[in-house]
Amino acid sequence: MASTCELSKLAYSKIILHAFKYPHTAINGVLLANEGSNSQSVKYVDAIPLFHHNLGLAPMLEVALMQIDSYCRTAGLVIAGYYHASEAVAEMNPDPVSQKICEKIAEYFPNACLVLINNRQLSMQMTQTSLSVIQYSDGKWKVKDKENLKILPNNEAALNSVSTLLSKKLYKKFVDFDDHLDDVQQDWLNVSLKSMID
Amino acid sequence: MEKQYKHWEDVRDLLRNWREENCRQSEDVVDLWNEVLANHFGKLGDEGWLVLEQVFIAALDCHNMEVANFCLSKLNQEFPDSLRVKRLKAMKYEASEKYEHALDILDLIIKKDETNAASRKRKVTIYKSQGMIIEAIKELTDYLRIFMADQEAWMELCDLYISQQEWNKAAFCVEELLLHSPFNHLYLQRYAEIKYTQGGYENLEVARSYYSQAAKLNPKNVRALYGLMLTSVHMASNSKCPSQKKKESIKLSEWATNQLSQLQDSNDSKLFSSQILEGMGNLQIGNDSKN
Repeated sequence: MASTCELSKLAYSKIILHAFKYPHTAINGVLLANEGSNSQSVKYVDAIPLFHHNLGLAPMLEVALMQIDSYCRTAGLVIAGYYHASEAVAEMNPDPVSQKICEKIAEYFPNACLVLINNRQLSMQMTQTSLSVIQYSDGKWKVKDKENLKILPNNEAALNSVSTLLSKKLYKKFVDFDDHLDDVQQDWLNVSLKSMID
Repeated sequence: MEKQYKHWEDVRDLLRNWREENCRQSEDVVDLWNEVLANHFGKLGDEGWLVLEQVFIAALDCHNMEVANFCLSKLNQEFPDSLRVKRLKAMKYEASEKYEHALDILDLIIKKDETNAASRKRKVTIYKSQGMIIEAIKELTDYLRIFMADQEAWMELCDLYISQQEWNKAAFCVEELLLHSPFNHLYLQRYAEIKYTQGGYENLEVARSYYSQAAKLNPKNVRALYGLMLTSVHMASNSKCPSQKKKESIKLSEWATNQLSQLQDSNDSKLFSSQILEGMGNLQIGNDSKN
């Protein structure tokens, strides 16, 4: 009985926009699900982009998670997953830092998923979801089959929507937590982009 | 890139700025070249060759091989025996993932000119692109034995060690950088971050003092302020901390919190104070030897 992992169009778009904004570095972020979610079949409704520099350093990660946790409590959400794109184009395995962070997330949300971006499949006109998912359950990492990863409302619509966003170069306005730390006025929730994505 | 640059002189000045500041704006560089500067290349004079090199590298970054090939052929025509142009050829092979060819060219350049630093650094990037981080580290440490004043290289080595979670070695690299520039608040902050990540009460103390120095040099360094707040609160709640240092820590964290709320003038400043201090205990990711 395989459990599915679903990503809302918003979460998926944010992941891709983040990757496109910083194509030359590794990037990471967390995935949010509704509070009280059934952790067997996870539906990620939002994504918060974290860093594009030195993903392995702890202090800013702790600050970011605290602020996101705070936000989640007001919005009825919970940190339930993590996404990552490697710096090297061919790298398809999660690095130790990603695993550590996701294991920490899994302490609070069992069966948290680690979504890895397949760099080679990214393009301005998206034809593939370019993601692979591994799930942490019972202390072990298990790779999820492609059929169990769904982008809502359906893969094709999401891909078309993201391709439109990319053609408009909206990733230039995208803000991650590192950008916020460089300039506190920048909004890591990307509220203004949300309306354009929907 | 909202402003429409119509005049080629403005574009030339902008590209010059980016060259001097070493900015990575590859998409914009290629767009500006295609839209404006390509038609006015003759007017650029000697600067034109620098622009071609810049556009070439930007085009490789965007994988726009047409523009890259055009730039390279022009440069090759003008400077047929140049080692600098040969290095650009190696970069083109690197961009096409033909790493063996790239390495051959770079080795030839280094043989001809042992002082050619840039080619040695490109070898490091070739290993890094393939995910061969250990080899990249070895190549870079060999390079630094010869060119030990190269700050960019020390920073890169620090990043490589961080990715391998070799905290002591990463800290050593930042120490080298601090020897060169002891008043660089970014280096101080980076050192503090590494020490904090290492964990343990002593490292926490070191991190706090480096964060303090960074915040003193630049009270607008948000990472230093957050770091100061984090380290102070952790220290104050640690049993190993003597009471005088506890008071000191609490004062420091209050100062940092105030600075942060001043920087952010919206309502979100509420996020800084009580909620963060409340959440402190739950989300420690670093080594568990903090307590």
